[in-house]
Amino acid sequence: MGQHWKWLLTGMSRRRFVGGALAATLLAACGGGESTPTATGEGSGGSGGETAPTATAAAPTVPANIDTSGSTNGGLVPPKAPESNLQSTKQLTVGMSLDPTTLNPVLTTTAAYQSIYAQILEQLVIFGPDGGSVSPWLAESFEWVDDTTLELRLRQGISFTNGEPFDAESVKFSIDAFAAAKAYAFMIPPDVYKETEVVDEYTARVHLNRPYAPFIGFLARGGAALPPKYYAEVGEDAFGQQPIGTGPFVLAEWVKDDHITLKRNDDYWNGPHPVATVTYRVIPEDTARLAALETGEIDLAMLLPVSALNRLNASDTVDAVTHPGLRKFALHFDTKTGPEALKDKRVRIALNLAVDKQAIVDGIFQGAADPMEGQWEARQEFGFNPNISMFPYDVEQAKALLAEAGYADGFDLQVTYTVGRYPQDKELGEIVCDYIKQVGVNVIQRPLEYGTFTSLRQEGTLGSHQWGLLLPPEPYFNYGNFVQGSAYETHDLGDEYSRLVDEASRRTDLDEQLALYHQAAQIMHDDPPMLFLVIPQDIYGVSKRVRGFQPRTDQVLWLFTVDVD
Amino acid sequence: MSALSESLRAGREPAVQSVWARRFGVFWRSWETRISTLLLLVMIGVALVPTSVWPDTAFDSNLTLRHREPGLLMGTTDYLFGADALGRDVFFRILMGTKLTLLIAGLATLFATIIGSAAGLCAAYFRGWVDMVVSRLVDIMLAFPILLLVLALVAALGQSVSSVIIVLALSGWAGYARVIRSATLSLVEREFVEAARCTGARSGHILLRHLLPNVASPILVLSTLNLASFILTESSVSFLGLGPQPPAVTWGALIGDGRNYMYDAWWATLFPGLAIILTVLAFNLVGDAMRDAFDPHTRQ
Amino acid sequence: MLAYAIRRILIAIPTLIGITLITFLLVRVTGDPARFVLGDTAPPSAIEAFRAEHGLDKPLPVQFVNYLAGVARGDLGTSLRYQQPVLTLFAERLPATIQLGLSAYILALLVGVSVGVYSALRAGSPLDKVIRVSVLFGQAVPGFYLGLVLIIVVAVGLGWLPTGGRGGLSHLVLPTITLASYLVAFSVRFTRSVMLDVLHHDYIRTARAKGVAEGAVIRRHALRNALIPLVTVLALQSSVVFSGAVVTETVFSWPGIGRFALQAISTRDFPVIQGTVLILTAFVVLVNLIVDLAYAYLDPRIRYS
Repeated sequence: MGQHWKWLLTGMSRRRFVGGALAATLLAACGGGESTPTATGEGSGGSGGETAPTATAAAPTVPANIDTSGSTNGGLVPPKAPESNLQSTKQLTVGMSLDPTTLNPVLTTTAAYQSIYAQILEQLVIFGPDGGSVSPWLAESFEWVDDTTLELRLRQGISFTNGEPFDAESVKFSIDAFAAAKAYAFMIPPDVYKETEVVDEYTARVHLNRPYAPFIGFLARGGAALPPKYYAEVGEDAFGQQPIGTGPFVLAEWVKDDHITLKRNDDYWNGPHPVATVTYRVIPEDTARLAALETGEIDLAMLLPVSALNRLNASDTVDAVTHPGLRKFALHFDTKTGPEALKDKRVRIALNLAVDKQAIVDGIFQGAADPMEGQWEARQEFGFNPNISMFPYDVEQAKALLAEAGYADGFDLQVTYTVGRYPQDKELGEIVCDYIKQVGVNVIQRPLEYGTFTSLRQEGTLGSHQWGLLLPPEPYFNYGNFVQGSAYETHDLGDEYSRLVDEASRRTDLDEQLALYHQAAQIMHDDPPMLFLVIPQDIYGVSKRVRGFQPRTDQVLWLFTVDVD
Repeated sequence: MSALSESLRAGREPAVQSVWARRFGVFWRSWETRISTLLLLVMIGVALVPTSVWPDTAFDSNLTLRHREPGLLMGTTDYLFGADALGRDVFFRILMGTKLTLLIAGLATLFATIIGSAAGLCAAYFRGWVDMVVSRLVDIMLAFPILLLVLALVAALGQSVSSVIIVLALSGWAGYARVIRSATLSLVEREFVEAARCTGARSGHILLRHLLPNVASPILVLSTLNLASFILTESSVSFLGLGPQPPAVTWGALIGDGRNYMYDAWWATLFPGLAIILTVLAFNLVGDAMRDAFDPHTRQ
Repeated sequence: MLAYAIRRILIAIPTLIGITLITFLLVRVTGDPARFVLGDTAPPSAIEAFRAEHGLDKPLPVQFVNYLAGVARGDLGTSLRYQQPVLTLFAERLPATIQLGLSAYILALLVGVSVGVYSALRAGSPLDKVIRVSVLFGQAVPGFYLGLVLIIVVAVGLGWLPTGGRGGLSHLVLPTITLASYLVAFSVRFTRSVMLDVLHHDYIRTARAKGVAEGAVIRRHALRNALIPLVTVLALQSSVVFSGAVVTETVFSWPGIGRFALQAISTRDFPVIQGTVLILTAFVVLVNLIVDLAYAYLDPRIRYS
């Protein structure tokens, strides 16, 4: 399990894999320019999707990785399913934590909603399960023709379930819709997208106004294929209630706040799915979701709390599946309005040293979390800098640094944190405050329910705050949030940081991009704008009758490889 | 509402000093009331203990003791009720939480009583538009689903101990107003009020000196029952995540914290739950006994 | 009677307007919806456009008049979160809450009357003591706590019933018990005390003296006199039931109004908070009005008080 992730841009002149583990190194580029990836799904049998999830004790599951052997099959598309699947009447029931407000991907970026519409609407390109790669799906391949032109070649012979053809025209319609969508504004600044050109029936070219490499990440996050006629006819809101796509399932019934039923699309282009009916049940209470799983009312429980692990591991009928997550818990220092002491970076480093992240991982998260490694990016993400190491737990050093900065007697620090918004957020807030107290800082706790938290955030009166941000695994959507004047900036990292990140966003060359992001990560480490805490793993409860479930870093449920006994 | 009508009846009784002994006799006659009274006195005693007296194990997290089993099960007295998710002593956290739990319910009841009694007295005494406005407001308040109102108001005012108190008081005064109004209505026509009016007493004087003492007993009964219902409402609010937040501790918040661990560490929810149930039960029993005591029809 | 009815209906009108005003003011102070809808990273221009679109940039009195006008037309606004009419969203979830509420009422009536009557007839017996203590417990247990315990013991431990969600009758049992716990305790107490009162009345004594069979005395005289007030006071508890529904529906993943409203509060979905509180409260006012009128019809003395 050396490689944790890869950055795989099929169709580019190079493909690159980065060895994982502790001292990940960039390997030399492999694959020649002529390697035209096919990723057709048929025949090549990508080993990825089928990897069975590992049932674990407290130990994290290593992501069931897609094939990184360098074969030309970079795709996630499973082998074409046999027609005999049509005979099956199998059912799968999934327990969700919330009822979607809409199933129109243009209107939302919520992973929990996508976990439903992803079976109905398919993406042109998608993030791999590990989050570090983008693979083709409905687009057979994609390629930067130049800095500002992205060419997509489409799979042929696919139609939407209402009969509309999937072609370059529909791709143009879809990309236009996503690029203009409010929900995606943070991924694609308004001046970036120019137009999509229909080259021929199955080729589309996206033209940008300026070089913007994260466009791929934007497509991988949004970028579902929409049926232009139907969509225009019913409008975006009605589409969200009755979506139509090219996917293996169609929406059959939606009882609000209760359940959503999907039926198999018998004419699916990649063969009929072995499961005839998928039911999503809305069970917001974590305890209740776990209980429903144990009694067999549901087969798959999404995003369970750590407290479920013991129960799941002791069970004969269900497994716990964990997957490295991307919800990053950090205490963001407000150096603009916060106490004077925070302006001194020695103080901020001292606070980073004051918290025993490993103890938190082992204690509060029962091992199902990873400490942040002195930087924003998670280990499995493309922008991770392997040369930076975690701030160790060192109370003496922390005290020494505080003394050096002139705060030997501590100072008052108000810490605001969310309560009840994320699993374990309250416990985490309490324990972090306890740790900070131990180096002599006088912590004033301000735990807030999320509604109030958000109100204050928007008023700009939040101060130093701890919360868990979940961002798409494209580095720019992460680093870009901490540049000067951006939404999550609580500390000025300086002109150089902003310049580096902006520059990186303009490079379609991944080597160059990565080098720039590594420099930015170093700046963030040396002048930490936050107390880097932990990244909880995602925990799923999976009935033993479910086969081929693959957790994804983006927390989206993909049923393409799932079957039930 | 049987409680209300019965206390209404009690309210008609003129205040006579000599009846107090009889009332106490009625009140104290059953063992349930005696136990409840004792329990409540102990609770109040615990609530009066300064927070600093409780051992550090009630405050400081210690991850190595996470979900330690109750000493009760192991025959030791340390961590009698076990430890919570952060390794804190549940027993002492319950004791510590008594203060805030009772304080919130108590102050909210006090404010609700003051607002509600004043509104009820004025409505019945002045009649006319005052009565009209108060009665409509009471109708409105009693029609609201109280929990929703409380949740929305707490969300609006921000989560803090004071906002929970204010919100509970705002939501709870109407019940008093209605009862006190009808109790007072039957009094204002009586001779002693007429007499006071004729001697030229000012309204304030009549309200405070003549009317209030005569509705004191339903007020007392209602307040006791109200304490119980406020403890329950506060615990629901805390359970739903909108109650007072750390480092503040209430029983409801303890249950809210522990509910995700009900399988692994049932003690973190069971014991705070018992604390709520027993206290509410005790308040209800004492309230009932008081009502019986104030009811002239009750035989000793 | 007619004059009384008209007076009662006229009185309900300012009450309803007052409720609308309070719910309106309630949500205006809860924070800025724009951020909640558009997300944290929305540019200021988008926020302003949103406010303009939803009329949030106008002065409060104007917003209220607009809202009242909307309510009069049956338009409760559009959910910020769902982008759908509040009324539609409400209607989709209403049947679940009605089903749960009604079954809680039925349970409360059945248990309340039978146990209450028994307890009154055998007042002072050991079983009566047990009943009185259980009733007090029923009123002392927080609903969410009872719900959690039922899930863990009955659904998971014993595997007898589903843990939550809406479905067949079996799905209804645990939420009904949870929601009804207070109502049951209430009606047992009420029935018991009314029955005790009634049993001391002269006409019962007369009936007994005349040699009417004990069962008939209870059925024909006592019960009838206890049942009407019980139904009346139970109907007046509808706002308590809605409060209970918030907790019960949350614990049991019941797709009703209570959970919906709670969710709206935490996402600051103003129109939904406003709309649901308004409809529920108006519903309670109407139920109270109907109960009042029915009662006045049955008991003429009320009309003149």
